[in-house]
Amino acid sequence: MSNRVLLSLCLAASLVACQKQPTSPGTGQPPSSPKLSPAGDASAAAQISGTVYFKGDPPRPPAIDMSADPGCRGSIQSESLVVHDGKLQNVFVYVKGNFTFVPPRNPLVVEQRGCQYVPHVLAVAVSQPIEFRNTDPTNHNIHGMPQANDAWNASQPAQAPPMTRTFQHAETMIPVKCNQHPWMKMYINVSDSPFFAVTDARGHFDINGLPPGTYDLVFVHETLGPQRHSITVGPRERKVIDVSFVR
Amino acid sequence: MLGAILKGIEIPYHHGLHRFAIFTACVTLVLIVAGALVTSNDAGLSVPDWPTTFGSFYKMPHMVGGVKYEHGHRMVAEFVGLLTIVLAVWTWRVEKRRWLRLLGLAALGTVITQGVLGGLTVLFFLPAPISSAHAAVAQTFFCIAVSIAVFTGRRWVEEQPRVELDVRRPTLFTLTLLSIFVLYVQLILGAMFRHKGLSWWPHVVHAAVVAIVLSWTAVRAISVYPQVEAVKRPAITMLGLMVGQLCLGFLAFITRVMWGKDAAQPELPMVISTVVHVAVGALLLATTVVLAIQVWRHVPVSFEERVPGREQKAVAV
Ligand code: HEM
Ligand code: HEM
Repeated sequence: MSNRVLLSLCLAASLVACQKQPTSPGTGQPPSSPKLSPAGDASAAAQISGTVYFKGDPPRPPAIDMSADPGCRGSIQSESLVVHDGKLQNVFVYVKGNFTFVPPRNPLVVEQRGCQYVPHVLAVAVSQPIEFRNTDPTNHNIHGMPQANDAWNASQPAQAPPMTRTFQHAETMIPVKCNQHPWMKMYINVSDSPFFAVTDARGHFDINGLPPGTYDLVFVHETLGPQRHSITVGPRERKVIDVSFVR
Repeated sequence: MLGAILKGIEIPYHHGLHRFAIFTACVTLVLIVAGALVTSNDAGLSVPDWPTTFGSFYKMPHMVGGVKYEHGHRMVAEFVGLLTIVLAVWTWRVEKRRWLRLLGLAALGTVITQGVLGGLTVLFFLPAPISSAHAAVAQTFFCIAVSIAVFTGRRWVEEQPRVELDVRRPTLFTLTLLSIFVLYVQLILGAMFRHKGLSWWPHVVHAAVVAIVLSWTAVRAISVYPQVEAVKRPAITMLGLMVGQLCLGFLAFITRVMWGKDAAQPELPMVISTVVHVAVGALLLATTVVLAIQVWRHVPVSFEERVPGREQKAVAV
C-alpha cells in the first residue's frame, strides 16, 4: 500500500471518529474538514482553499410562485444561480484521485423547509447516508434521478420520520425533485474521494488534509457545468485557488 | 344498386347508445386534457404508488400541488374506464353488427392497456418510451370512442350513403390512411420530445410532412367531392385544425423551448399552449380517422376491389 493510500485511510478513520452527530442542514459542506490523524505522515498534509467567482451580471433569480399549495409559506427565489457580490455559491469542488478511505457513517441532513430543499447542493462520500427530513406541514415526494446509482421516488408526508438514502457510486449533480411542488429541486454530489467541499454564500471552499502531490481539482456548478484545474501541492502547503465561471 | 346492397341489412338505431358513445368520447377529450396537465405541470410522480394512491384505493388525498393533477387525472381515467365498460356491454347487448360489438370490446381492451401504461410509467419513473406510448394509446382510444359514436349515429345507420367511385391514384382513401400514418409519427415524435426522449427537431421538421400530406388529402376531398357532405365536412375541419395546430405548435415551441428552457417552475403560458397543442392534436387525429371512415363509405375505390365476394356483408352495414 502506498503512503498516500495509508494516509487517506488514517484521514478517513479520524473523519469517522469526529462525526458522531447528524450534520445540520444549511451549508452543504462535508460534516467537518478531514482532520489528520497523529499516525502517518499527517503533518505533511496540505490545504487548499479559495473562492469561486461569477464573471458578468448575474440574472435576477426569479421569484417562485408557491400558491399551488397553502402548506408552502413564505417567499422564495430560484436557487439555480446564487451569486453574492460576484461570488458563486453551491459549486461542488473535489479532488480527483484514487484514494482509499472509510466513508463516514454519520448521515448528512437534507431538510424540506418552506417547500425548499436545504441545502440546495449537498456533497457526500460514497455510501455515506443522507437523511431527508420534512419539517413542512405538507406532503413532499422525493424523486432522485441519478444515472450511475439507483433512482427512487417516495413520498414523505408532514411529520413523517426521516428517510435515509445512500449512493454506492461517485456521481456529480444528481437532481432530486419534488413533483408535488415542481419548483423544488436540489443536487447531490457523491464523491469517491474524501477531499471535497461545496462553496458557501461567500463562494468560499476549504479542503484540508490533502497528501502532497499533483491532482485535478474539479469545480461543478448545476447550470454552468464543470471546470478542471491541475494543481500541485507540497508538504504542509496552504494553497489558494480562485476560479471564475462565466455564462 | 350499390346503395341497395349497402342497405342490405336492417340495423336499428339506438339513440341512447349513440348519445352514450358521444358522451364517452367527450369525457375522453377532457381526460386527455387532464393527462396533458399532468405532464405540463411535471406532476407525474407526485403520487409515487399505483394502483393505490398514497397506499389507499379509496381515500381522497389532499388535492394540492402536483397531486391535484395526478390524482385528478386518475379519477377521470377511472370514470372513463367505467364508461367504457358500460359502452362495451351495451354495444354487445344491443348491436347487430358483429364488428361493432368487437370494436366495443377493443375499446375496453385499449382503455385497460392505457391504465396499465399509466401505472407502469409511474412505477418506472416516467421513462420516455412508456410515457410516449401512454400518450399515443390515449389518442388511439379517443379515436375508437369517436368512431363508435360515428358508427352508432342515426346518419350512419339509417341514411343511404351517397357513393362516388374514386378513379384517381393515389386514391383518396389511401391519402386518408397516409394522413393517419403521418399524424401518428408526428404524435410519437412530439411525445418523445415532450417526455425528454428525443430532441425537438424531428417533430418540427416532420410537421412539414404532416402539413403537405394533410393539405393534399383535404384539397383532394374538397375539390373532387364537394357534393359529398360527409366527406367534405371532416376534410374542412381537418384542414382548419391542422392550421390551428401548426400555430399552436409554434406557441408551444416558444413557451417550452425558448422561454421555458431555464424556467424555475412550469409557467402558465407554457402549460396552456402545450396542453391545447396536445388536445388539438387529438382532435385532429380523430377528425382524420372520421374522414377516412367516411371516405371508405362514400368514395369507394372500386366496389369489386373493395368488397370481394363474402366480405360484402361487412361493408353492407
Ligand atoms: C384510462 C385512460 C387514460 C387516458 C386516456 C390517459 C391519458 C393521458 C394523457 C393524454 C396524458 C398526457 C400525455 C402527454 O401529454 O404527453 C397522460 C399522462 C399521464 N397519465 Fe394518463 N391516461 C389514462 C389513464 C392513466 C392512469 C390509470 C394512470 C395511473 C397512474 C395515468 C397516469 C399518467 C401519468 C403519470 C401521466 C404523466 C406522464 C408524464 O408526465 O410522463 N394515466 N395520460
Ligand atoms: C400539424 C402538425 C402538428 C401536430 C399534429 C403536432 C402534434 C403534437 C402532439 C400530439 C404533441 C404532444 C404529444 C403528447 O401527447 O405527448 C406535440 C408536442 C409538441 N409539439 Fe407539435 N404538432 C404539430 C406541429 C408542431 C410544430 C410546427 C411545432 C413547432 C414549431 C410543434 C411543437 C411541439 C412542441 C414544442 C411539443 C412539445 C410540448 C412540450 O414539450 O410540452 N408542433 N405535438
